[in-house]
Amino acid sequence: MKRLFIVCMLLFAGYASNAQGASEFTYQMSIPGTGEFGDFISKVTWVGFTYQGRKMLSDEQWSVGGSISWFYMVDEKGRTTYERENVTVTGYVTTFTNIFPLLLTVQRDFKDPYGTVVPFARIGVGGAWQDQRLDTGIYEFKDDDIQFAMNGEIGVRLNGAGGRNGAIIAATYHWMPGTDELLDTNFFGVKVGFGGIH
Amino acid sequence: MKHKTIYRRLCMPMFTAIFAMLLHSSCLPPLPDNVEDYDLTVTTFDEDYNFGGIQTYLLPDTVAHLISAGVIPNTTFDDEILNSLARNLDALGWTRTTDMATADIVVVATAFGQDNEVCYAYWDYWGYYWGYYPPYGGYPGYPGYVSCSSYKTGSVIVQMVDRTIDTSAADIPLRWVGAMNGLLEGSNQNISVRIVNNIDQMFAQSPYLKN
Repeated sequence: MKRLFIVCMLLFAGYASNAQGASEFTYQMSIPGTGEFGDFISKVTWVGFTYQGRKMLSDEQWSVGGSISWFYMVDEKGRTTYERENVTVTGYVTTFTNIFPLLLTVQRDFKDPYGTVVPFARIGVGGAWQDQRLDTGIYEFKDDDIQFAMNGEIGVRLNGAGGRNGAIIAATYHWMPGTDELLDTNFFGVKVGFGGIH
Repeated sequence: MKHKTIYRRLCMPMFTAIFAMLLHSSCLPPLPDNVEDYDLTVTTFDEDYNFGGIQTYLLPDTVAHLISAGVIPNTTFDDEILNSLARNLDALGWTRTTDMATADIVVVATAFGQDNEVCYAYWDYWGYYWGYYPPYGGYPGYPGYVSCSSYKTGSVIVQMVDRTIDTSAADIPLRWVGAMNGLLEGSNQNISVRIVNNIDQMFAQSPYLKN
């Protein structure tokens, strides 16, 4: 599964690099959402990167494309006691996950994309490979699977002179429904980066 | 046009390579710093059993050891195990007896150790290639290198059995099981302290045992 995703990401990146349109590279800090995933990872995490490429449509305020991302979230819980039914376990627990979403995206720029300040909104739909792991004592409990993935973002691009390249600031939300192997996953994020129209 | 060409030629392949490396490697958290961070304590119990009715217990004065034939058991920590168990069982309000006929519950401790070895092999990818004609198979790759490490682990399992059970039955129900597992590394004093702490934890996470 993981190798299939690597191939898909490489193919996407190759295509995106040749598409006429826009692209961006951003860094993201993430805040786990609610539910079981919020218990699994309960801390803000600081490793997240996204590369995106888009093709602008005839109305250049609309663009379509795709994104590839990587998020690494870890929560060192220390010595913790867990109970499930009539079993109680105490140990030094560390939970972590690596998430690799691959999404198709649609973006709407609310102003001229070559302007100085360009607010935008974006949605993405696709899949994500995730590897959730819990380490306690000398044991590890690991599950990985591919999940359906959705993402929504609102932000602003601050273009420099020429209106083609600029800094990006955005707020994001990711959601991946649970599978037999993985927890329902949701998290918020704040991302910064740079992008350009080419 | 020149700007676009440079952007495509340099930045895009760089981003592609970075993402491919990240996807291949993923990330792992740092390992715990202390030996005691690898200790694990697990307890489970028979939810239908009335622990409130227990007044007396029998605890043998030896620890059972699971060992291979011909191996001499390591009894270094037996006293710590038995003394900790007796202290915790007394704290439950139970009275120790040496008479099987008057004991409500029998507590048995078992200990065993294990030697573990982990090896990681690193191959030179560019040294491996397939034979041109499939029936003749592939050519072996150039040997890489292997890194091995070994460590010892130890486990103590405490089981409670109702004295009135039919010992000839095929299945003997256990009323409570406490288990601890950890690295058998460090000084004997350190291991003794960890054994005592983990046995205490077994009873701390089993409040239903107390009268």
